[in-house]
Amino acid sequence: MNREEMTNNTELQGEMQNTKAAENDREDKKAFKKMILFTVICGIVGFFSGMFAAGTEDGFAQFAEVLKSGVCVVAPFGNLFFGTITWIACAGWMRQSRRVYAAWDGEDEDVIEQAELKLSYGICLTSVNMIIGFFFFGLGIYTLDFTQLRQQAALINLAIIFVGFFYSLIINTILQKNLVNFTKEINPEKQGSVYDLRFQKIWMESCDESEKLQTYQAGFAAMQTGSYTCIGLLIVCIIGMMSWDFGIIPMIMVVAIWLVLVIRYNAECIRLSKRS
Amino acid sequence: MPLYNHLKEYRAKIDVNQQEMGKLVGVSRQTISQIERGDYSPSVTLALKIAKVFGVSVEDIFEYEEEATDE
Repeated sequence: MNREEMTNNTELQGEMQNTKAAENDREDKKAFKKMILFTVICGIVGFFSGMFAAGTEDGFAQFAEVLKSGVCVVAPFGNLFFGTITWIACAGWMRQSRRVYAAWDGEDEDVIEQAELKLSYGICLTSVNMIIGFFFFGLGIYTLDFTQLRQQAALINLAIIFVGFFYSLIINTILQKNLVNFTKEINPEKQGSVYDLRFQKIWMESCDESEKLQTYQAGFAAMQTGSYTCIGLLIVCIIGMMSWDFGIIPMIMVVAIWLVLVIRYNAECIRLSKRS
Repeated sequence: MPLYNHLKEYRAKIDVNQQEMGKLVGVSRQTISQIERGDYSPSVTLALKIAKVFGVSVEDIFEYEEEATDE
């Protein structure tokens, strides 16, 4: 390349950079106005929410008392109830999926998709039930009066809480094992046992390129939703801290979860962008 | 999606179902189905593997057409 060509290339690059910078400025200006408007609206909503919260301080305290009384009654049985609902729903979906799979000709994708969809519902429900299981266990322990534990009623309550929790865990594990094993029957290339601590890693390794892409897209969507949820929860925690005597712990918990989401996501992006 | 394919036709020629096709190229039945429907564009590696199964070139199975833009 001679000097004239090099000069032309440099000028061309400079022109392209200027054009791109101008394009960036135009894009930023357009989006900036919307962002300011959105921020102002959020501020107004926040202001009135805060006023409302301050005005309902006493009302909220009463509501909290009523809620606590209701929770004391419901909490010990929550796991038994939701565990059973999960069991019935998943058993029904498994039965339907088996029927469809038995009648499948090995070619019609629409047919087998219906079976796999029901299995996905089952896996989703068992995951939700697992979280609810921990929730009701914690709630049950919270509602116990440990000073009255020598009394029969309190002991029965405690027993129900633990039985319910382990019932929920066992149901979940068995259902997930059945759902995953049936999925492996339909898709023989899939590997991994639900009992294995490395199950998620082994399962992902047995997924092909399009399944991995779907997982990554779903993960990104979940991360985005998680971040927005954290914003909402943080607002509730700040209002609750100032007006409803929440304390700072809920806010710290939400911030911790949000930080983990964001930092993990960005660290992984950086790691993936580096040359292998 | 601007990528079209004749995978189903080629598959019918050698009389394999989607599951068997998936086994031949090392992917799942769902991936084969998604490719045939045009819901997924295979990687270069996978496209080459598919073409090799049928003993043809990638271009015989997959066609790329620019999407028409409104003026």
